Amino acid sequence: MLRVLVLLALVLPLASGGADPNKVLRVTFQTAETGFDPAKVSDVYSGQVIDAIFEPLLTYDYLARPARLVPNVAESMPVVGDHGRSYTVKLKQGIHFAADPVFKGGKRELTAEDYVYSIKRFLDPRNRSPYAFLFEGKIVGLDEIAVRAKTTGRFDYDAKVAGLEAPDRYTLRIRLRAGDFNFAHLLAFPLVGAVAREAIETYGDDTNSRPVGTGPYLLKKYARSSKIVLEANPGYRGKVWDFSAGDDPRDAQIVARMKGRALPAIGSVEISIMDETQSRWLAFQRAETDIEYQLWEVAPTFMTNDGKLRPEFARRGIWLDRSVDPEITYTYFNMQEYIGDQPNPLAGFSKEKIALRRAIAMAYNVDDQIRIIRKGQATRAQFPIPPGVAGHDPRYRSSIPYDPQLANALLDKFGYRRGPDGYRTRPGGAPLVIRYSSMPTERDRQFDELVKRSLDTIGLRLEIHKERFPELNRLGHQCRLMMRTGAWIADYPDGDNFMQLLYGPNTGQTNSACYRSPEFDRLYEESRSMPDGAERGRLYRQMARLAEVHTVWILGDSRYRNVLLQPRVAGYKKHPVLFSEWLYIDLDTAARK
Amino acid sequence: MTSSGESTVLLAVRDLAIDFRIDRKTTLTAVRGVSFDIPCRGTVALVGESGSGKSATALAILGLLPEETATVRPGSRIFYADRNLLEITPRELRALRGTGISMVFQEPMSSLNPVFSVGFQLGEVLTKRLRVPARRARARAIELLREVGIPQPESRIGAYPYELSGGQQQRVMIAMAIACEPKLLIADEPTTGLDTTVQKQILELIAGLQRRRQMSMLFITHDLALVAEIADHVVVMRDGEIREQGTVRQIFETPRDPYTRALLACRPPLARRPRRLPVIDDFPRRPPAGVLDVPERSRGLLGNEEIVLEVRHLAKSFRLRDGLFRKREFKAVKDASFKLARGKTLGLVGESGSGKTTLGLLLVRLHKASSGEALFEGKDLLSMPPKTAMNYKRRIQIVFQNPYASLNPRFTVGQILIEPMKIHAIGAGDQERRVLACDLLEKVGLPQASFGRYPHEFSGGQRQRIAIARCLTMKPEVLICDESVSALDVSVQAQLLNLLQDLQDEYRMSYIFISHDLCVVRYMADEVAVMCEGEIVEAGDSDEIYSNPRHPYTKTLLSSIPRAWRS
Amino acid sequence: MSAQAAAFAAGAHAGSRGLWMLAWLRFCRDRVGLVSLIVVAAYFAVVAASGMGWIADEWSKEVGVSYAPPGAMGPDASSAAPAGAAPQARAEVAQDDSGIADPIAGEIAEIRKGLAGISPSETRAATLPFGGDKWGRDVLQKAVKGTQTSVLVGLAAALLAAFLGTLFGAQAGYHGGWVDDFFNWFYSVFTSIPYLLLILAIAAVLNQKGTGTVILILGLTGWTGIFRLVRAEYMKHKVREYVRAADVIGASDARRMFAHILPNVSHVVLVQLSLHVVLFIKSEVVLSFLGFGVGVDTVSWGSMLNEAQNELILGKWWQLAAATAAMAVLVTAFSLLTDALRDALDPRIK
Repeated sequence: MLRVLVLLALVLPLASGGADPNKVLRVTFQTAETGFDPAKVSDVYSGQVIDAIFEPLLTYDYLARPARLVPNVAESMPVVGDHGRSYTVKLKQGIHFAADPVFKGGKRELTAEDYVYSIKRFLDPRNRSPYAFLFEGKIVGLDEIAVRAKTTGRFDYDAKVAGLEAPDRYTLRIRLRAGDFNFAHLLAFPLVGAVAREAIETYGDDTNSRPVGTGPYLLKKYARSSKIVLEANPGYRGKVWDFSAGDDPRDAQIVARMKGRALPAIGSVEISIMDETQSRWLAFQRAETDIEYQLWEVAPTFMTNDGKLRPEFARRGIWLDRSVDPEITYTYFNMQEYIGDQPNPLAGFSKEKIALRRAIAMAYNVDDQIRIIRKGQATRAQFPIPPGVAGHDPRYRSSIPYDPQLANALLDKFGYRRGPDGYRTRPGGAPLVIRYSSMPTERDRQFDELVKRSLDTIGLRLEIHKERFPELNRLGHQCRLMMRTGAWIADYPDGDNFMQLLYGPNTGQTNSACYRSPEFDRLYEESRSMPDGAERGRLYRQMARLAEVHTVWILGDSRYRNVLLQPRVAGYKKHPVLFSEWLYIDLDTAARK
Repeated sequence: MTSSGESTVLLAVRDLAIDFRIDRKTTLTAVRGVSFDIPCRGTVALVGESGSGKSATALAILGLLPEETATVRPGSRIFYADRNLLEITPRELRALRGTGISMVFQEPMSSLNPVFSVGFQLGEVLTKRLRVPARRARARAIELLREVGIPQPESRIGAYPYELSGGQQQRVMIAMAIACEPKLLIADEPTTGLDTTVQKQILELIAGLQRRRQMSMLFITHDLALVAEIADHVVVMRDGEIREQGTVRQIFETPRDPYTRALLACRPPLARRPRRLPVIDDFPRRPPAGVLDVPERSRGLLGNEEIVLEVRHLAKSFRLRDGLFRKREFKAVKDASFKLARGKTLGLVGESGSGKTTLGLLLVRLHKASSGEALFEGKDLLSMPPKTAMNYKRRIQIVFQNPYASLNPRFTVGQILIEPMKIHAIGAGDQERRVLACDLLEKVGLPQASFGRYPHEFSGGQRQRIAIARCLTMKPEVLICDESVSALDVSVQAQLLNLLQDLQDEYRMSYIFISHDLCVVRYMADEVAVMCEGEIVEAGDSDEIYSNPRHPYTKTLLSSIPRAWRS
Repeated sequence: MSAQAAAFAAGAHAGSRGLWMLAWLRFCRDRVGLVSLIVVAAYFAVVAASGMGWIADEWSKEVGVSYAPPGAMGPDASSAAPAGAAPQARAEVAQDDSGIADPIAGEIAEIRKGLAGISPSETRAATLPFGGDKWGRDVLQKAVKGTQTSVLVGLAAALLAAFLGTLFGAQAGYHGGWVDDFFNWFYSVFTSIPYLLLILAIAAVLNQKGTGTVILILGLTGWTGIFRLVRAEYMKHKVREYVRAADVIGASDARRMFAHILPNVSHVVLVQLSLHVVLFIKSEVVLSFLGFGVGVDTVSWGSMLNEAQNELILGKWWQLAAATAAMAVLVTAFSLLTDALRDALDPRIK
């Protein structure tokens, strides 16, 4: 009897999520995080940490490709009814938030009300959530409360919302204004994890550094823009690694290694913020970090031209996980008439303005960008939706060619005459300066140079504006930047997530170009209520063409994600949607080098 | 090339010739074949002006010439006790220094190490050279200090050089020199720069030491009057050669060389006041007759002259830090009053620290007076605001003591002369100013080519002329000469005094002549004021003061003037 | 040896020699100094020529393939394909417009007709004399242009710093009292912060606004060394008799400070100026290397080194070599020149 008890005592803690504290995973971010309040951030770096601390209702199967939804805290997949207008989810019972002084010593169970609260928070104007668009105009009765909040200055969280109900403690019922078959993806979005109302109300403005969630990790140490340390949450309900192998040959090995393991296996995650690629590369080579993927500039040192790991690295047991990121990079033009109080030389739908933007797009050499800046580790984006995401059209080709000669002729034709210093002026003679914004990093300097070369070939004067990442984001949301290169990675594997980047009402959130075209908006709204298919594809092609014709963006590339892993990292396979895989991997302490 | 009639010769110099290399191309011959003897227990005075080579000769005896630049020509010999000092090994030479031949230098302040106490330095000589054990050395040091006349030697032995006065420092140097009982003591201008009274004391000390210890002495000086008091033999040098040598009596009573005679004559005599001082150029090669018969100049005030400057109760105190919090008041000038007549000279005599220089600087507003007035045309110069004072600046000027420091080294002479003209808007344009400057150059006796030259190309006397010319550009009514001729050689001094007198005759300037040299003051001044510790202790007609001094201090001062040779 | 003799000797040479002339003669005797002077003069000639646009005017033109190797090494086989490729026909546009009309389609069609037959040709060299950078720009021309930028920045900043340092030092040393206290406090604030951190802090705030800002930053922070020396010199000279004499003849404070004393102090300032040129060239390189220096349209040694750090990892060493060599030679020559200058102007220090 005693023996059984002892065995149980040993086994139970493991089964209920007892992670090995000796296993410390070290990773880096190349840009500083913003914070850890799900309703206040939008960058992928903050997202990785939020992914580990909070839990959304659903999640994705780790191995299945294409990405497949599975329940997380939900007992089972949501019941969809009424042509995609009604979603009902039942929660598992007995899940608790991580211990925090705000709960005054008691254990706080997760309820459906928590999700009601968390979703409402996206529309609270005080949170200024960049992801408010996810829920705006979708849930019955929610927008009215948001409008009221704008006038009164206070969001009434206690007000009843018809489309967001918790009929009992563990049941959540959502009613949508229009049928949406992709809504389940939203419920799997890491930013839609549950937060505790007490914690939010107590911590007030400090919620970005005091996250309290139900997830496998909690925030142990936090030095802003420098270091983040996560520790396994002792109160986590635990998970068991239980995925089946798919078609990918790597899956079998992973399954063999990880199946049946109690999760999380890793006791602690240490994240360092390192701006410079050199530093990150050196740290990885010295085995100070375990996983590294932000190494585009130095890719040729560890990869051959055909995408294989060089033998000297393979010999050390380092392995390479390669996939195309579901992302696009693009250089956008600010489409608002005025920037601050100055007229915007790039904006407008008149022929001259379109010609100006078209000329710049035709002078920008994306091939050079891929070849020289990305060192060949990217593929050219022709369509706003990248490969691997539902809605991608592999046959579509951009109608904007690289043709500086044509660009020059176009500008000449529309009256952008060259002044005595060789630079063009606006038709009429007013000076013309294009302002390109970027960060003071070495990589952005290369983009500066590429933009400068491009604009020099067509004789446009360039001004470089330097600012740090959070500042740039803020200015961008306020539509105060004229031209900037941005990137967007899929939040969920559906093309709608990309097309919404050009949707007028998303200006100030994800529509960084501040593009407002009634025609585009009409097409988008129509596409929103369609499932993935030929019909929607046709609409998407029209939308892509419209964006080209207006030349809102210069489409760039989709990068290869080359993830380098130290030999001791086990069970890793990059998931296209999940922000981080820390929950599902393990470290071989024996293989430590 | 004679020797005295005395017993033996201690040191014999034969055909000494020394070359100095200035730069790669130029070599200067400082000493050209000099020969003389130093007898045992006798004193030889080596007399000459600056540049005559006397110091070089002395340094050569001890082997102290700078190696990189100086070469002693072969064929030179210096015999000491039958050894040629120029041929012995450095070791032997070092052994000789201090015990056989010892030297006292001119500037005691720079010869003593400022970071060690006097006792330490003296003791070092004893322990290192004579190998005297430490305790014994300290006792011996105290004895030596007492012998050279330092009061309370037991307590002063721990003093640092800066805590001693100039005279005391020199005494310490002498103590160090005689500590090892040398047979020959070389004293290179030991009293230059000391006050007259202190000078007298040091000379007495040296004479006393020499008698007691039976030392020989080589006394180097530029002042022929000093020589009369102490020397047995005199060697006169000029430009590296010996012009004349002989006993003191011979040199003073029957000088043969014109240069010697010039030296004897240039010094302002105490007894007479020739209209012009003779200068060296007045003495041609062959002895002339009756050149010294110059009419005398009478000085003194009649009492009805116009008063150009009246000083009333002038005082100046300096506040000095005394420790961390206290301030000590040092009264440099206390209640000075005098009147200066137009076209006349007021002589201000005193020793160092008497306040005479401070008084002069007060009058030109370089120091701010603590109290008192200086009335010029009825207006008080000292309390005027700076703007009004500008108008008066050109009318009262000063010539400083140090000719090497008072001219801007980066200005040409022309610029120096034109500067005051620019400031006071004298002359209509650059051309006119240039003409004026050249006129002045001529007046002070400088060649026209000086206009474009820089101060470092001129000698001390010439620089003082430039300084005087600078003052003259403004045609001042009062000229203060602050020890202006003290740093010059005797012959140059005579030239400058003549110049000053000529200018006074021409322009009717009034002079305030500040000096510690009583002979010069007697010669130049109509009135004399004697200063002691900030106060004017006696003032009056210069002839009166010199013949009938009343104040005890004046008497002491006058008695310490080195007596010229009296047969 | 007396002054008379010295004067005699000096005056024996023809003409009058000012102290500057004497210093020049002393300088000429120092062989190392002369060689350094020639090297530095050569650099200045390059700077002048580059500034006038006679050489390296087209440094930003892309004349070679990306990372073209130096001529001695031979062309890089792997990069044969992309640039200089067969001038392809004008890129074809997608025909299917999905029903969306292009407002400027008409104008584009016209232009295409006009340009038909003219194919965009662009041949790029496979190797360049000193290699090419990532965009194919000539490294040699970049090095020359970089010399112009870096040397001008160093020179301008040094002049600014010397001007400020001399002005402040003169005021502090001459007037003393509370003026001196004020400047000393000011000086202490600047020197208490480590130099590199100070310029980085200011540069980070001003955020890469270009060459002019760099000059201002360096000049406004680098005056402290000169200030200290000039202040000491002024304190020393203020009590000299020639200054008192100037006071007596009626020269005003300003006149005494700048007409009388300054010529006696200028040799110190000259030597310091020379030292600071070297210091500021190095500082500019550091700033640009860290990304805070000159903007994207200017090239300097620092920006070349900045690019080189990423290129080195790819095995492309020529840009690093060019910038380093240019900089090393100039800094060495300038430092030796400064030493020789100081020996010539202030010989007793020897």
